[in-house]
Formats: sequence, C-alpha cells, structure tokens
Amino acid sequence: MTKEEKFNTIVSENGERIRNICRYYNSNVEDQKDMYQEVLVNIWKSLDSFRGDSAMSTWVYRVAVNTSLTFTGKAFRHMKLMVDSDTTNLNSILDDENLKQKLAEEKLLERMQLELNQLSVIDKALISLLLEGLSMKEIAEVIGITEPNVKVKIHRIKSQLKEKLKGEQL
Amino acid sequence: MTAHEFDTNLSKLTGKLKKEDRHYATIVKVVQIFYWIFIPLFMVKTAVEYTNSHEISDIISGVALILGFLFIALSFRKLYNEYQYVDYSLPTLEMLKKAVCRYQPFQKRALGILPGLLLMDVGLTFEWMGEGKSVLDSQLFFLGAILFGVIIGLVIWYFKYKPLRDKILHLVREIEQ
Repeated sequence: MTKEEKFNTIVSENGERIRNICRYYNSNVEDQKDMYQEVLVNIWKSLDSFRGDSAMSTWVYRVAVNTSLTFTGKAFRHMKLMVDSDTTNLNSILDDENLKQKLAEEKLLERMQLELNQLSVIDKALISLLLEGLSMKEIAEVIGITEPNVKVKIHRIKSQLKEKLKGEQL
Repeated sequence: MTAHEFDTNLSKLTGKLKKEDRHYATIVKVVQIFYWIFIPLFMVKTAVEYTNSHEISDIISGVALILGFLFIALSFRKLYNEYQYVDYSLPTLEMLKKAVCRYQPFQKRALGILPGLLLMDVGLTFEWMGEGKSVLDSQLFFLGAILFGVIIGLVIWYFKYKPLRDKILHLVREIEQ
C-alpha cells in the first residue's frame, strides 16, 4: 500500500473523529476547515512513524489533539471548547441525567460553555476526548500519562463543573 | 462542515503534501550536491596550490576545510530532517517535551557541529598563515564570526522561540501536575 493509499484509508475511516475534534475547538466553520487541513497535514507527516502499536483511532486522536495544541499558534491564547446540546457524550461530564435535561435550557448550556472555556488548555483536551467517548485508558494513551492520573484529573474537572453549575441553578 | 465538503479537496491536499515531500527531497539533494561537487573542486584547488607552493600547510588547510564543510553539511542534513518532520502522533506529553528540547537555545546535539567548526578554524588558520597573517588574526576573525552568529541566533530565539518554549513548558508542567 502506498503512502497516499494509506493516508486516504485513514482519512476515510477517521474523518468524523477529526471533524469532531475540530468542532470542539472552533465555532467558526472556516477555522474548523483550517484545523482539519492542518490535522491531515500532520497525519501525512507522521504516517511513516505509525507502527500499529496502538489502535488507529488512538493514533488519529493523538495527532488531532496535538495539532489542536499547536494550531496556528493562536490556540494557546484563544483556544475554546465548543459543545452543544446535541453533543452525544455531554452527560459523561456531569454524570447527572436531571442536570443534563436542564442543560437543554439554553441559558444553562451557555453557562456550561462559559465554564468549559475557563478550563486550562490541557483540561479542555481531556474533556474533548471524554466527549468523544474515549475510555480513561484510551485518553491516557493519547495524552501520555497514567490511567489513574487521567481519572484524578477528570474527576477534579467534573467536580468543579458540577459545583459551578449547581450554584447557577439555585 | 460536512464530510463531502472535505472529500472534494482531498486529492488537492495530497498533491500539496507530496509536493512538500519532494521539496524536502530537493533540499537533501542540494546538500548532497554541495558535498559531491563542491568538495572535489576544493580538493583540486588544494592540489593545484600544493603543486605551486610545495607548502605542507596548503594540504593541511585544504583537507581541514573540506572535512569541516563535510561535517557541517552532514549535520545540517540530520538537523533539517529532525526539524522538518515533527511527529504529531506521539503521546501529547512526549511531543511537548520534545518541542521544549527543540526550542532550547543551546542543545547537546548542536555539539555535533563542533568538530566541523574546529576543522574549519584549523583550515582557515593555515590558509591565513600561508598568506603571512598571524594565528591571532585568524582566531579573532573566526571566533568573532562565531560569536556574532551566536548573538544573532540568541536574539532571534529570544523574540521568536522563547515565548513558544515558555508556553509549551507551562503545558508540560500542567500535565505533570
């Protein structure tokens, strides 16, 4: 299989994953497209190093998350995490069905959006992977830290978010 | 953004990427041309000079300069390869740590060009001695040029790469917290 064929296969099988990551970090469609292109460029550049040690999806998420951290240099200052009420795994952040229902109310969702954007760059990366439905083990493989460390970090983020959003309801 | 929107551009993008690969191959070829054409030419020059002068210093100077150029050309090729192809598929923490190393002003791997610089210094010194200039003159010129290059490099690093390195360091610390 040539490099081009391998690249096309990866893109066709993982296009949706990459697009989702791009959506999390950019509200503007043009920015999503730019980041998408940059992720693909980095997939091409890193393709020779793929040895099949990890799942292809994990490999693709690594490239996507790493690109988001360095995307055009502006990511450090302006990186935002965009979620909407249709985000499939939104309840995985809150672990609270009742609260999730209430989140459907636009005002509360806006508040959650605001709180998510207060998170640090790394916390946003962790949440974006959680929203993608990755397990703690997979997130650990993408970020390069231990699984218990991921659990601790995500537990902390969830607790902070729940606390802030509950306060909003009162 | 729909999947279809991107699919239409995929062949265009792969075309661009292949072009970029070819660009890299061209750079490597230029470096190869440098040491496959320039170095034999320099050897001929050394031989002609020795034939005319019968001074051993001409041979020492010529050989040292050739080896110096060769060392630096090979080091350049290696460093260019490392900088051109950043591996984005590494775990985030590992990729960031490598980026911190890449953006350090002084790196261990840069020591690899020291033998090349020393050989060039030896070559230049013997060449200038042949022209009746003192060792001190050649050393002042050579070290001055190196110092000037280092200062320019540090200024560029301070304004262009240090802010980036500091931000990446911050991310590394945050992940390791």
